Amino acid sequence: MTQRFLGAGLALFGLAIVYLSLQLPAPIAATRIQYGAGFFPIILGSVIAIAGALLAVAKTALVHEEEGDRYALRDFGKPLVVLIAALIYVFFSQQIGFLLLAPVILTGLLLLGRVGWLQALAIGIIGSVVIYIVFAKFLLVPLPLGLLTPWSGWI
Amino acid sequence: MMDNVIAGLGLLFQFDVLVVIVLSGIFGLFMGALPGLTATMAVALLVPVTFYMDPVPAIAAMVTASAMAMFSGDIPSVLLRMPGTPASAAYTDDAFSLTKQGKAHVAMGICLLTSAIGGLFGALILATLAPPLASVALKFSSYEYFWLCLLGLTTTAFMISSSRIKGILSLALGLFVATIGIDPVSGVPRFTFGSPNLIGGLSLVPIMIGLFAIAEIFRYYARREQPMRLEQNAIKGVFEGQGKILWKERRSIAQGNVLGTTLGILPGAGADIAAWISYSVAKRFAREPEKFGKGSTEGLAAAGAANNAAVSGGFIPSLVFGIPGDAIAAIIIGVLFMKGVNPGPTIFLNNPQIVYAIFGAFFLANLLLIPLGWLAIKLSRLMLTVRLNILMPIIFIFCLVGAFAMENTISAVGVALAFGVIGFVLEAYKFPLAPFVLGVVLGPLLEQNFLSSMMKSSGNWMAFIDRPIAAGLALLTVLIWLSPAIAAGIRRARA
Repeated sequence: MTQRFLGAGLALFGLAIVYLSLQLPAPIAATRIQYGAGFFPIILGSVIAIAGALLAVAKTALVHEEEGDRYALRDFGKPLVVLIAALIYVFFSQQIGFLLLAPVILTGLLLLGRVGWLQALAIGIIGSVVIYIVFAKFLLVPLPLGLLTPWSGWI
Repeated sequence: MMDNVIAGLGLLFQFDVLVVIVLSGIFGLFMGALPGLTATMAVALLVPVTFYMDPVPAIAAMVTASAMAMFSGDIPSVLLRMPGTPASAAYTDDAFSLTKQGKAHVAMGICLLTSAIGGLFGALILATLAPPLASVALKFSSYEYFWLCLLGLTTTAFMISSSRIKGILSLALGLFVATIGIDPVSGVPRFTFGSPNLIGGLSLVPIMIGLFAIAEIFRYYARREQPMRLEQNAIKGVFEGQGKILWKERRSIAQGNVLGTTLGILPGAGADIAAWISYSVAKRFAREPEKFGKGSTEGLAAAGAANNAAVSGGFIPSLVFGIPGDAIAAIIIGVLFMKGVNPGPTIFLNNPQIVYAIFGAFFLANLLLIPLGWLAIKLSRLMLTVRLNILMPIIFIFCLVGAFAMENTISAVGVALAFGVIGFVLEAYKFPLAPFVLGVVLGPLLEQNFLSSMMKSSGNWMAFIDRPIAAGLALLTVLIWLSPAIAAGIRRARA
């Protein structure tokens, strides 16, 4: 994706904000002003649309833009795995539970960083348990127990 | 006043608070020393833990961690030619050149002592300027606050970013994020798409964890790892001959202190920019400009002092107006709000002892920097052997749990993740993140002050420039907007 595509995407996003803001209700008479809930977002949407369009169409040298980091497509592979792991956590941690899911994700990410199998497994389990103790026991954060709920008295 | 000072210091000098300060100092030193982990990330990661503390230890922990991380970012600059935090990037070549000349101890000593001097100077300005400024700010109404917010956002987007379009886009996106949720004036839900999780708007802390921690983790996995190679064995004699060096570089240090504090006060500038600007100003007026980039102690002293001074200075607008100077201050302000301590001029009336405890924390953190920093230099070889491929996944799990801990909802983890992706994309295309963050923080203030001003004046725009301070702030804001056109006009006239 080049910067031009990003600019075009942002321009469309800005237009979408303007469109959605126009659907918001008109100002309430009691406030005695003519600016409703959509006033501020319409300005922001317009700024995003115009600046995005400028980024998309203007010549790079003209707007003194730096193109940014050069990532090859394959460089996105590992971050994508991390993202999927996090999404799995978001969608399944309540059902499976932190103590079962976190060691799997942590070990997986350690392996992704080319840590040896045994070391990854050990750090995955110990690291997750330490984080669980700090947050769930000391800071009393209700981390989900999931499948381990029947044994909640023991954990 | 003295009673408040004593009460404030009493809150600070308690055994458990001091333990928190030392521990967070060690944490900050460790985070800053590892390339790829920034001072902002250190502070963002501290939030879930400090969430459960009283206001004073929570703020003291964050202030200490940021000051320590700002210095320890210099350690890998000296040893590896790899800045630990972006604020150390300005003078990495000079620091490493000294190492190649066999003077790593000199470079480390200058970085450590000028960091402490810069931080203490900024703290002194904070403690002397903030109370009188606050008494002026008490007279401010929504008109002045509107212009102050707009001025802050303007300096962020216009003056700081290398690319103006990207600065404006980043700012507008941040402001848009702040509009999600119930509109405070009309009570209408905006951009919530019927989701109950979005009704209350997006919380700052998961956004910060996403932008500064999760995005960094994505970036770590996206780049091909470079092996680290340590140039130096043990570092001895850090303080040897430093008295003479500091006296010789007194002008650079003074300039770094003043520039760093001033730039810190400007919203959006922060420590990174302060270090770069101070370095280039020092080069322009240097005794030996040819040495810059090749081991200049002048450059190292000027920029080393500036970045720590900026951290302290950045807290002035936060405390006095409730308007943060940079991303770190924005996080700290968010924490103060969560604890029911609202920053702004009224904090000086309602919670004066907390204000003096915060001043004390800045002094204490920068004094502690010298012994703890010295220890970090001694242990630097050990710290730099920590492998990021082990640390990053652990930080990742910490981020997931930390985001969850703020609201005890899984949707906060989703928010952190979404902003991790947004932060990764924005940084990959060199969009500055500071305008985005300040947009999120200042957006509601800007909108509310605008609408309440309009209601008070029954829609009369002239009311915005009726009062002298409001008119002055308005003029300054408009001048900054017009600055590109004015600069172009001057260039044309000269040609």
